[in-house]
Amino acid sequence: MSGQVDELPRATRGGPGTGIAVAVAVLLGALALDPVFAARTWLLPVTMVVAAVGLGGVALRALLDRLVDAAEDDGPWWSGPARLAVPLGQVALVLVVLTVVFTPDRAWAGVLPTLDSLTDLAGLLGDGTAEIREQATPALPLTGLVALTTVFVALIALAVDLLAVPARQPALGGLGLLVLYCVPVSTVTGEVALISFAAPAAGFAVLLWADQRARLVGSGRGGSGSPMGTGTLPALRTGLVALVAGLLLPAFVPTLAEGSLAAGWGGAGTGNGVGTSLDPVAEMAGQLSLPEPIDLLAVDASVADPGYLRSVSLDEYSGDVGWRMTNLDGQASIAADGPLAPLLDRQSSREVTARVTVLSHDDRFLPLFDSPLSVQVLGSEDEDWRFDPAARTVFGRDVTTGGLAYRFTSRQPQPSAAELAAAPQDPGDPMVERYTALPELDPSVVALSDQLTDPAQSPYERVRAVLGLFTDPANGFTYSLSTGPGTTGDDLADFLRLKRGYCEQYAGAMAVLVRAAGVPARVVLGYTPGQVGEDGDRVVTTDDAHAWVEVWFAGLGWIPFDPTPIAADRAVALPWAPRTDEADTSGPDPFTPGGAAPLPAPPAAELDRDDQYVPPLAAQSAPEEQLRPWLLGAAGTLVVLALAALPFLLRRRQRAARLADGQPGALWEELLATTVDLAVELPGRSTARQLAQQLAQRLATTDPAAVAAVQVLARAQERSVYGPPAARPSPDPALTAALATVRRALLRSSSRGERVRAALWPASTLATAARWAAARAPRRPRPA
Amino acid sequence: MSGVTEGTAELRSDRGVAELRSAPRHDTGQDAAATQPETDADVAAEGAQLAEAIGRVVQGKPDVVRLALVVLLAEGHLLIEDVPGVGKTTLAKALARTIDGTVRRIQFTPDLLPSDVTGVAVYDQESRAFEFKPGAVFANVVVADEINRASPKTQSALLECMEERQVTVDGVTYELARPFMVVATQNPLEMEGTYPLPEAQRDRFTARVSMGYPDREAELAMLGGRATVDPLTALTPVLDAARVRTLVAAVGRLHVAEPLRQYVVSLVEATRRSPDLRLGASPRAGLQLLRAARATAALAGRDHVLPDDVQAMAVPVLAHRLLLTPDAALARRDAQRVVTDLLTTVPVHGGR
Repeated sequence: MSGQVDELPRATRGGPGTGIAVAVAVLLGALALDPVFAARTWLLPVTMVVAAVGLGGVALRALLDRLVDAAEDDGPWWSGPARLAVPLGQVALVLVVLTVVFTPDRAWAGVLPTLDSLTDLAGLLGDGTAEIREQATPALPLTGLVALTTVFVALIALAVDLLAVPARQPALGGLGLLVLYCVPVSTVTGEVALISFAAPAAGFAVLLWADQRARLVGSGRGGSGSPMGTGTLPALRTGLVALVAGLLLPAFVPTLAEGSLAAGWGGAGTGNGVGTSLDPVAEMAGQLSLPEPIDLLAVDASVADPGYLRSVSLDEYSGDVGWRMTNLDGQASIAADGPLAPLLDRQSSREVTARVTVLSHDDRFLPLFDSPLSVQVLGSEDEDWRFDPAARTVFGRDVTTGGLAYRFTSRQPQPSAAELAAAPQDPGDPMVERYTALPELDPSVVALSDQLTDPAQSPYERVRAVLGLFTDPANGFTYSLSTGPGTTGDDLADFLRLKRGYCEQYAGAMAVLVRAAGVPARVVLGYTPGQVGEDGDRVVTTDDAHAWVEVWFAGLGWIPFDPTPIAADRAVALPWAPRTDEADTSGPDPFTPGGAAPLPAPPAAELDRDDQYVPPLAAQSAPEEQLRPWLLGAAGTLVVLALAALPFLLRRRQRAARLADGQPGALWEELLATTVDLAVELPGRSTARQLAQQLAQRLATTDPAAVAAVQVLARAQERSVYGPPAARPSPDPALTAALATVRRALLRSSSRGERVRAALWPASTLATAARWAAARAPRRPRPA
Repeated sequence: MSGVTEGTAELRSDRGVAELRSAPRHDTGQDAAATQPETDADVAAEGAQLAEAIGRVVQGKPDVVRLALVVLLAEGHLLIEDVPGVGKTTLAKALARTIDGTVRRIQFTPDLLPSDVTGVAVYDQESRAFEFKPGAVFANVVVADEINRASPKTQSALLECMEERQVTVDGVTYELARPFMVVATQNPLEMEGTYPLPEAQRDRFTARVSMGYPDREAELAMLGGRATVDPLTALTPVLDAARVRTLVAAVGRLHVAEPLRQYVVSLVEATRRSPDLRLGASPRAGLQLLRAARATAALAGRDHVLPDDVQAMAVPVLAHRLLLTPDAALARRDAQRVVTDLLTTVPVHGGR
């Protein structure tokens, strides 16, 4: 009787098709977010979580069905509660995927979430909400934002999956896609890209197809073996209507002029402090995040080693946003008489002239060699270009460098180490007060500074000590496109602890430590001088973007120091600040070194902008540091593989034992187990004779010999169970041979996939386990 | 006896009057069968001869013929339930004629008396003693036509004989012939003025079968053959009564393994637990199911009984004993269907 009752829920469960349709639909829906981001790196983790939800749900439900089927009891008591466990399992899978992608460092074996890794994840999500407030669309796919997006899409996938599979209302899942669609509609300024409504509409069509199919199968019109085409036409029809509605809907949805992510996602955005609309960095970032470097400037310099091209200096540090620029002084223009930024008298220096042709550069700030004496911008009014003597920056007033050419003369400081060492500490110098200002620092930073430096030392000794911290390989600082995930809440402290980052963190951290040691310092953004091209000009590309430090020495002025371990061909020789790792010129910087610094922000080079999301495989750095998680991961993989291989091994042992036994009963059990492994459909309660008949029908066309063999096996089994004791058959090689024949024929009649699955993941072991469990589980009392 | 005409209790015997054994302990045939060695008891071959012979008369119904043989070998009684004219009586007569035993046919009517069935002691003027006049049940095969037309009193007289295999009149017990088989027919239509067999009585029949209409070819052949000669008259006996007793004894010796007994009990228990059934199968039903399965196995030429034999007999042996709940009846389920479903849910040892 209960067999009858059992038929009903199974037919209406929807099967794996619906689960997969949900995954595809949500993924299509998530494509709507494409215009929200500047790069597509967010797509991988989102795909992974959606796959985890969709395929994980399918797998969990299939496993459950199989367990229920295998249980002796029809519809065991635990089948109801177990169904509730499916969403929990999906959530767990999502957590694992999030851990693998975002916080593997503190996870168990890099895979299983621990309390620490979950805390990290929560921190990341916190960063994400902050980034929503800060960033405008298209947003940089920074780790926090990507993590938040991933969680967001995962929740939608879960909701759609719940609606579509257990609740059997796939069409309602369209609401989830609508939510995804609303994100670009409400955040992206101007027109919404085609993909934003086409993709969710296609996803909705997939859901409708699944809906129709489930309905037809449920009502019996499609039958259990209904072709995939069932319901395609109605789904297409409805999908077309949805597409048209999607085209019309944006016309009626008010778009927000700000185009702020925060506006769309419910945050209370305050925006960036300094003129976002004039911010040259948005362009630089946009270009820098392109995979191919873009040529920015062609520089014809009078010397072979011209040093850094300076764009802008950042003079104010705050714990929240990092280094940024205070106001620029636009009083003077480059047309003024006399040298713009004369060096102090005692300085050893050399004169450099250069002619720069702008290729793709388009910025407010004019990249110049230090320290500019005169600048002529060709094809532009001199009055439009202002000079801030304090920052020593030339910047355009309402003009940018796009398409210009300019000529300039500079005097580069060439101090000797002795001169620098002789520079006195001058507490009365106003520069000291201005350029040593710091907010309250994390205690660990202060402690580090105290440990490195001693007020009794000369300023130069202190600066060298701080520089040594970063450049001495013994200290373990490595170049990386991303910093490690922070935990202390203070990005600077995190960088100093995790020792991974790129130029901005290096420069920012050194400047802070130098200031903490009482020496005036600031961060400078600009370019390394690029490579010499075919025509003798140096070509500066987006890859050359860089950040370094300038330190003020009384009587000498601003002297550059560079703590970042950049590639040797880019490095600029600074004799007064030798790098202790000079010998080690190979390694670091496998990728766009300075370009990796997508300089999110002059005028706000924030330390926390380093964490632009990079796909996990790309983030390779010092092997010794990475080795442990890898080893743990490998060990974990081995354990998982061993566990996965367990059914295979158990089944092999079982098979060998049964063949060695040779009794008809054992051989019959083995034959049945083989059919279970190969998913051969056989009636549930049957006699040996009936089963043999079924198998014979299946094999009749392919292998007549096997038909006879299966009959032999069945007869022997019957006789051994029901025959008179005197006539019981004994182990017989012919029977074993018959089993081999039948097994071969069964394997031949199955598809390749079934064979592989039967070998690696034999279902019969699962059924055995389920029977074992069912035999020990408390039974539901039967109605008498 | 006075009010009953010979027409109602008709004696049809091809080989003279039925043997009458007045004393219980004198059944030589029975003893002979018990002591006879089983070597020459080829149930399958002789069963096939019987089936072939009957099949010449009852054309196109091999399953029904086989079931009749099974009941014969299981020492049971057969209830044939069907509309008139499909060959119920023909089957009964053909069965009787092929085994070369005595056959009596009782046409059941409302005025039939129990003594017409069992027999009556009559005072003999010459010998000045009561003499027992045997009734219609003293035969190897008794055809009880339209059993539901007789009064319950008469019905129960027959049913008692079926169970006891003896008749007691005036304190004297008379053993019935062996083999003894009642083939009763019952018309499910025209129920007016009838006394349908109560459940308890139906339980006495080993199996119930409905003939069903013959298929087109069989019906055509029947029309062709019947036109010239009645095939029943052309039928010659294949086995004698003693031989049938031998076969029955051989069937009784068939090996029944422990798992098979358990299977039968599980099946019978399942009918008692089924939510669709108001009344499940009795222990007697289980006994008769096993006997019928034995006969099936013997007819298939096996020396042991398989679950397949039990399954083949489950519907004819069990279905007529079961009573559906009102709900199940409203849902248009019938007992056959319920039994068929149970077969798919009761686990079979040695299968799957």
